[in-house]
Amino acid sequence: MEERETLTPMLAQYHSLKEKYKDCILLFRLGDFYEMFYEDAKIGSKVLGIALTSRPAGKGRERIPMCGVPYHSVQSYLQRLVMKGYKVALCEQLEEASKGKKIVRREVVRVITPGTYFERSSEGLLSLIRKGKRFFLAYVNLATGDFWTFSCKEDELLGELSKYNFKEILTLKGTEVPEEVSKLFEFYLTELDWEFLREGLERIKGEKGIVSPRVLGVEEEEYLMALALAYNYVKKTQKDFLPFLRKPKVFRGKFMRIDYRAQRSLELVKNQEGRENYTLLWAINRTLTPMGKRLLKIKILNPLLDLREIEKVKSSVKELLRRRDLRLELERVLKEMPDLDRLISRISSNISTPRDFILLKNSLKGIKKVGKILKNLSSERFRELLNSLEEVGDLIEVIEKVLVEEPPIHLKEGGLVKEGTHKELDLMRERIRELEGR
Amino acid sequence: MGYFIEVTKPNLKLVPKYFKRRQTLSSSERFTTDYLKSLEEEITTLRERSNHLEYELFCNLRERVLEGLERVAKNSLVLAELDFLLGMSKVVEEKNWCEVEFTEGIDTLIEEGRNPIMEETIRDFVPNDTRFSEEERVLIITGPNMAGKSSYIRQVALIFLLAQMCGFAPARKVRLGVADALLTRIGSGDYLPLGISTFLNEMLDVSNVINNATKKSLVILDEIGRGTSTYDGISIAKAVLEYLGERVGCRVLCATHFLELTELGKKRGFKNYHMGVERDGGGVRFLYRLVEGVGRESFGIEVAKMAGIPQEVVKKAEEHLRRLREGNTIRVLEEAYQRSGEDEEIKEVLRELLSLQIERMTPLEALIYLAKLKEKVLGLKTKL
Ligand SMILES: Nc1ncnc2c1ncn2[C@@H]1O[C@H](COP(=O)(O)OP(=O)(O)O)[C@@H](O)[C@H]1O
Ligand SMILES: [Mg+2]
Repeated sequence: MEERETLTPMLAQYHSLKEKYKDCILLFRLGDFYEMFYEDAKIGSKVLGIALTSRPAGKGRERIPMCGVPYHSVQSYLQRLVMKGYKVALCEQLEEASKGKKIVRREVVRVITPGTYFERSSEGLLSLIRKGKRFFLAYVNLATGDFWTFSCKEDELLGELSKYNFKEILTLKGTEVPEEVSKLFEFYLTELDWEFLREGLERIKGEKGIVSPRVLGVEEEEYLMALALAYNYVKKTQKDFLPFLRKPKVFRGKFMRIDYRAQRSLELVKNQEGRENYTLLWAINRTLTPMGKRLLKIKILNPLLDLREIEKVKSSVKELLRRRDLRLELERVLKEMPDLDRLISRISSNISTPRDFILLKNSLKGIKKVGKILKNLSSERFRELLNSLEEVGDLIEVIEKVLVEEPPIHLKEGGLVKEGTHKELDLMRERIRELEGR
Repeated sequence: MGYFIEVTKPNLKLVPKYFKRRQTLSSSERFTTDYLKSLEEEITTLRERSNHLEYELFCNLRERVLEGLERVAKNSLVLAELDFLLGMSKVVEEKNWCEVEFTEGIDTLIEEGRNPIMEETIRDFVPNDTRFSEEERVLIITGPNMAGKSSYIRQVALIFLLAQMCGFAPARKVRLGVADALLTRIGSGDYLPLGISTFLNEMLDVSNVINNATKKSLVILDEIGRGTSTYDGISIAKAVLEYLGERVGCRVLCATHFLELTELGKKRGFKNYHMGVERDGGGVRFLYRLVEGVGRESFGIEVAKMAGIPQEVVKKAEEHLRRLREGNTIRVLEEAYQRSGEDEEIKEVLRELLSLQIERMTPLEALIYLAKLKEKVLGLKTKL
């Protein structure tokens, strides 16, 4: 960038940010607007159908292309850009504009990509490490907290990929992604370098405690590499918005092999048009929660081979068939359940409202009921489930103690906290009432 | 807006001096006083402080909840699993699925199996049995178009999948040996994005099947060898079936309209079935019932009739068929060929007619061919 001195200070700041996010459309916060400049502005105005204008760039310089969107409706513009396959870097003002000439501090607070737009989309992303004829992959879905790694042979790759909802693939520079993959799936490819991987490995060791593949019960370092790429990517793009992710696992087991062709031609979870109607999933789905449905899909695509495992499922279904009473009870609880995974994602990424906490509390009460119902079921699978159920009474209690039953959406306008929670607060409210009474 | 004293216009004269005007409306005026102002200030600061305190309390709450989210996420997995099991029990009850009994090896018996997807949309879905054993591993299913071949072989694949997913399946009774893989070659338009010719595609699928099938696999082949010339197609299909049936020894369901493949039925491990069809007046009635042995007639003409091909064309086709059956056509054509002498153009038309396989043509193909032929013959008229 020659002669940066003659640029306006604001544009100089823009350039230094843009340099770090070259592959993104940079939405640059200017007061009540997010502005795009240069090529970004041209793309933005075309994709979003908004007017392209221009602004002065500095002494003796030509005007530069610009377009902008108002901050309060940025979400819908964001969505359109991301759905079109663009990555968007969201740059915020980190301090109030003051009278002095000094320019306000700005930072990119989040990068939204086709595979990380968790508040509006249910698609995730896959990282892919190739080792000869074997592939090691990791799957991350920020909307549901799913995070795991798996591997497959070259001729199984299409079949494995088609089991996932993904809009993005991450690889190391120089990795050859088979041609068929790009032809059969629609995704955004991001190539990362070894330094990025190294950093990811550090992070996955430090922050997730996975110091060696053995922690996961496997030998191959490549599983870790796949996890590291994916983890570092979501970490670096989502920054403070990164929602909760489950502890990574290796997804493996003995499953019936159903390759890409069979999945498509038998129309298991998607029909020829890519939709769900007239598929096996459509025909047999009686689940009551989004979590249950997602799991059913995984089960359809991964039928079991081990007879003991199959018998376990069978005997639990059989027990439910006998216990109509418990089934009805379970049904009542599950019907009221929200998408708990998405709720967790929202709460953990700071995009939640107080109402989400009430929703959480009610779900946790439901879980307690589920625990009671499970105690009456005796087959092995149910006993396992009962054992893995975690106690959540403390969470119900804290939420119940603090939050009113119907809190407002806004956090900073009061009315959130119950009477009797906090002495000082009660006194202040008392005083206000008293003053207003006069 | 804050706090104020509102006085309507007629009462304005009663307002004392220490009231201070704040705002004028159309029918009233608003006033404040020093005392009211100080009250307002106190309330405002209290509000600000209490709102801030509430926000802090909420943040503390959030911190506590965040610490517990890992546990909630684990519980969510439990809920998902329970919901899955509950959902399966519901569909099992509602759709009358049966409990599956598992065997070692490949022996399989499905009584009155149903296609769970089609059953949703077809009122009188006809159930069918399926049997695999060491003696009958490769099932070759013939029958005219629309007889239910594809639906049937998919049904078997889906029953295996469901059995291994949950131990229940849509049938009256099921005993089966677990399949390690479902391998399919089912023709459809879904490879278009690859931009490879249909036949090459088909062969890629077939090679995938052959390379990955083990003794425990279930292979579903729907109309293989269709993408090339008839003889190539038959030869390839036969070789593939032989390989799978004799070398791999896996279970295979093959739907085909090549009657030639039924020759394999004589071999150990192979068995012929067909989809039952009845003549019904001048038309045909599909029974959707699997029957042992080879279905001899193709009912192509009846199907053409049902599809609304004009009466005249159908009649002609029937005539051709009769002549073909009597072997007349060939003889007549051959004689004509001999007599045609040196005229290459006439010879070519006759050669073409001789090699024509009417029984393999769709009604539309036959029509198109007929039209072309007519054009050619018109061109030759003078010579004849
Ligand atoms: N078992 C059955 N019971 C009732 N209708 C059936 C059955 N099987 C097939 N059909 C009907 O016949 C139609 C054609 O079936 P299909 O399997 O495509 O025939 P084919 O493959 O022999 O040409 C289906 O769309 C369906 O309407
Ligand atoms: Mg068919």
